[in-house]
Amino acid sequence: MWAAMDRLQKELVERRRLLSIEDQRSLMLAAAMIPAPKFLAFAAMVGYRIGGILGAIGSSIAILLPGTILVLAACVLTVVASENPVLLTIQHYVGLGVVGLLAGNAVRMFVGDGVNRRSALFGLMISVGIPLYVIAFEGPLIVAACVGLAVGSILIRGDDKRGAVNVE
Amino acid sequence: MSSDSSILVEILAVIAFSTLFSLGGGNGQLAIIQDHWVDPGLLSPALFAWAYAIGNFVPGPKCSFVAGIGYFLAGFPGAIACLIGISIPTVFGASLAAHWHDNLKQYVALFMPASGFVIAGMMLTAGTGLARNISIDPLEYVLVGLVVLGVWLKRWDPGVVVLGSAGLGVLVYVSS
Repeated sequence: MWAAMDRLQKELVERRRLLSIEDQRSLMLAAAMIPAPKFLAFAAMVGYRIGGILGAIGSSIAILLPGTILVLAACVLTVVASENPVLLTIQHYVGLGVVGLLAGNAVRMFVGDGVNRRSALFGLMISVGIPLYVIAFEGPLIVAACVGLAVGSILIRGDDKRGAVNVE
Repeated sequence: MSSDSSILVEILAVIAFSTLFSLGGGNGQLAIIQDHWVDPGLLSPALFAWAYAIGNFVPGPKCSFVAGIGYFLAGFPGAIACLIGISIPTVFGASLAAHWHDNLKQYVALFMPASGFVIAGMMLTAGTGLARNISIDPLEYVLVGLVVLGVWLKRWDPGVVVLGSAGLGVLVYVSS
């Protein structure tokens, strides 16, 4: 992502002068606050600044398209070779890696930085409460997440230093 | 509405909703997908993990892995539904934020401190759900634990983890 940011800065700020460096930094920060994938949100915001809503749509499509085509090509090949025993073994081990990635990123997200003891305690209750409610009590994840966000915004609102760390 | 179009509408709606849990660069989206399609058996855990893994290798936003999820669920129309689903809230939110950045900042700031904890809980749910759906030997839990420690303490890149896991899979297959 950061390599692409550097390229965007060269193209949009230095070469075409469509944005100032301050604009770019401000949009990067704002993109982290939008409920959307950060890089995609940044592209949409740049597009909006330059060409309004059509610019936002166009830039979102443009930034998603190359990756999507490659993902689809790989998925089509996966389906074609779905019975291959080597692929099945690889998929199993990749699955293990993804489980580790998710759990590791969850720990990183939880630890974050700039959090006081009181907030960490409430945060621990939320972070552990969500999987506990969903897995042990078979409750709906969406309800758990929304309640966690609502309760957390009341109990942890004083900690303005903390937010989600980037684990994209 | 036919069943084909209803699954496309469902894909679009679930992906659009799950996008809202990507606040602050987090990946709560995975948990919603896991909860909605993997746990009920509509999408195999191996394909779910596979699509996510591929998403870590392609250029551009890693969220493009949702196209793979859509493809596995409903072919190319499913992939397009996923892309529309992820784009709608993003374009809407980004346009609003670019237009009323200063006014919206205070409202978004209310949720930001808690978002990390909520998304951590959602990712833990996704990881646990995936682990329950694929059969893991006791020895393989050591490998999972190693990855957890590496990602947490050493900030291992997801691409490296996926590539290492795939390489290990090849080694295991060749040696068996």
